[in-house]
Amino acid sequence: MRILFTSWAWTTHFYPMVPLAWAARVAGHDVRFAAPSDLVPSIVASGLPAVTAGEDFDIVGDFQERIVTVMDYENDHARGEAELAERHAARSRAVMEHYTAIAAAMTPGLLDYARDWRPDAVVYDPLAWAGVLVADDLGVPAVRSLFGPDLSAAIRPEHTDVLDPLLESLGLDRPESTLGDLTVDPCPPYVQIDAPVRRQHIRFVPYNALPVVPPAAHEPGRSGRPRVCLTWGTTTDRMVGETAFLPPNVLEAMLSLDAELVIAIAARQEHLLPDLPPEVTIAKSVPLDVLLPTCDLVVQRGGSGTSHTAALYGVPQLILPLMPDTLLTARTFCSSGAGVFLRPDEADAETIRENAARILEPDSSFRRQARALADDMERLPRMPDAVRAMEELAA
Amino acid sequence: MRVLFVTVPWPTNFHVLAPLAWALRGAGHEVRIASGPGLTDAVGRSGHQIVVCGPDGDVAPLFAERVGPMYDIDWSDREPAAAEADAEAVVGVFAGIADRMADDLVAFARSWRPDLVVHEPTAAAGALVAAVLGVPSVRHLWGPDVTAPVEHLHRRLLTPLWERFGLTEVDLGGELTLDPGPVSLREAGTPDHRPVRYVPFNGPGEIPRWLDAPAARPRVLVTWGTAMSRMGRPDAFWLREAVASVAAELAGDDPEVLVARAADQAELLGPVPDGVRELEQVPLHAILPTCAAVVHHGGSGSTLGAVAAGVPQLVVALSPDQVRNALRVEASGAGLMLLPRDGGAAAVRAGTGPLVRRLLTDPSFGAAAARLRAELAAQPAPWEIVADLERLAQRAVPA
Repeated sequence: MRILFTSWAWTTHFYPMVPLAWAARVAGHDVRFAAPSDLVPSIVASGLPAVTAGEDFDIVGDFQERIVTVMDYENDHARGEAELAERHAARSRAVMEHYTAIAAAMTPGLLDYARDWRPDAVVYDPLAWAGVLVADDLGVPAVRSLFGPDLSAAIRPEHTDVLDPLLESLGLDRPESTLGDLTVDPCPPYVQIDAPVRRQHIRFVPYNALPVVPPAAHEPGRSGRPRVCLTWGTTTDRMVGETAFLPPNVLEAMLSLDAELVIAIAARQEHLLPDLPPEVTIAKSVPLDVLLPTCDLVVQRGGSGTSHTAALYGVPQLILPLMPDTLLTARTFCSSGAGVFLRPDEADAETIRENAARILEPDSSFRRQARALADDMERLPRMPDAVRAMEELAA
Repeated sequence: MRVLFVTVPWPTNFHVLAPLAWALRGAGHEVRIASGPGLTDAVGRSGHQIVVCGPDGDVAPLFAERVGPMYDIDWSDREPAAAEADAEAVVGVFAGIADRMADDLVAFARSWRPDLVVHEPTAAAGALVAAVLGVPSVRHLWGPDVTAPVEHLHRRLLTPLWERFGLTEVDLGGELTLDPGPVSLREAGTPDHRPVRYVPFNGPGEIPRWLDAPAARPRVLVTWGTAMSRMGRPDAFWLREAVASVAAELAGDDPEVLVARAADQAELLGPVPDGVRELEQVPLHAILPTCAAVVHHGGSGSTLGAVAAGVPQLVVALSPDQVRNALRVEASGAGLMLLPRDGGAAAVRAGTGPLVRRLLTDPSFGAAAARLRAELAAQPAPWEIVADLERLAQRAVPA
């Protein structure tokens, strides 16, 4: 059958869809990955057949303007109940407006394309509502491909006045839900947030668009000390700003730790690094699925790719989230006992160091729980099971 | 488990392996592709991960140096001794690559400890590394079994390499050979290889929107693959002649002529006749299913791609492996062949159009192509082979 994949122009959302799209191809299905032109080079780099559809959109600008301005989670503890409720409502509306703006840019082009190509199913990243609108228009199943904790399940289009003008302008009916007919979910089940959806759990398959593996990158360190990987992901500096990259409190804590420190960065982030002692290893564009299995701890900001990869390989995590979605990712993964997260207001250098040291203790509960989480993830169904579920839905 | 794929740095050989590598990853296994630095870009553009072994860049110039001059040979009445020397020259190219990959490859594999090695037939280093580690090796064909008939040459040329690693003999055939082609396209006398369904992958690309919209007119595609233009023989690259011939034959008729070419073939092709639509770096698997016929040079990607799409094909073949593909296609009834060795460009210009006309007017070609397509579709998909590979690796675990 024909399966149309779509995502907005953000690699965090796109990468987890790549193994699923390839699984559909190797099962014999005809696959297209359609997105606005900003994402097309990433699609081509994944080996998938790319189609440009929908208008590009300044997602970072819109996010910073609409969402960063109402986040201010740091001060929630000082807010009274009424003020907090008001703040939540403002955030929810801002997020809704953000997704609607993305949908407004993507949907007309995607609709044109899909009406020509006639897919039998549409797979969409949970925030690319264009996917569900197009599936609805064609009368085919909409499959939501999650990239992490099911944050979007809570963002229901209750503000109908936000989405409705877009639907009216395109002559589309309001979909029953933006959650689709099936949710393909790599998040370990007991850390996932509950939502009223039909869920197909799958074992996470890492994909991170870093094709060159140094031959010794999988080998453990030789120092005999525990090895700690520090990574700030590849999107935070673009989303929140370069000053948010590896803040001084985090670096100070890591450098004071009795451990071998490896800092994983994308090649383009090299200029963001401060001067570092020579014993610190800089792993430039080394895929995390190769590097993390050599580590005893990963310290990171709650990116879903990093969190899943660490969980898959049984590596405990210390998460220092900055944004609402990463806070949620941090909370879900750490609820398993496989790590600790610190809110920004708690994350002074000493607290970070103490927690890292606690996790690193030989036979700490965090190490044990991380291994248990990895075992659980290995027991989940595989990609072909997700493809079969899509086939059944479309039949 | 960990699966190490080994291929020479030749993108078309690698492209056939990429879907099986994805099937393994989707099933939860770890995969690395080992090849020369010349394959880095192609591996990157498949979503896989490469471990660079040895110094070799693109194989095409190496190959062109030895094979380019052979395009003028008439293979049908070649003296056996001369033919043997020709074959040895070709095998020598690949033996040299294996030799130059071996040290890095074995060092990496000793550390990474794969449970299984998958290699394509020209990558003898794959068989070597499996033997050194004592793990099973699987040979994955990309077309006709080109190496089996010259195994004695491999043995002779590779023995010094085996000895370098303390081995006297290495099983080049592997414990299992996977053949992605339809069984009925196999040559007589081919061993009973395990069939796997060819999943078309020609490298990625952006698909123009009009290609995925319903076509108003039937289409005829002309393509010359991606390798022939890099063989140092522009006089034997006949895309321009084939396009001109098809366009002249079909002028004023309903079918629309498409030409698919690589970015580096723009000059070789030159300006196309009026009404011919040009596609640059668009994957064949997206074009072929929209076509009523295809003309190509007999490369394995084009041949198997046409089979997978159920499209009748005209194969204009030159080198021995291309001629072998052409003969099998014609015998299947799903297409015709043109062997222009003597006539060269003039023969392509004169012969291509009329043969395409036959493909379009005689419905038997379409019926045979549909049968081949159905046969291929019934072969196990790559993900269905994964369990076999798991069992193979399991069985090999020392007690």
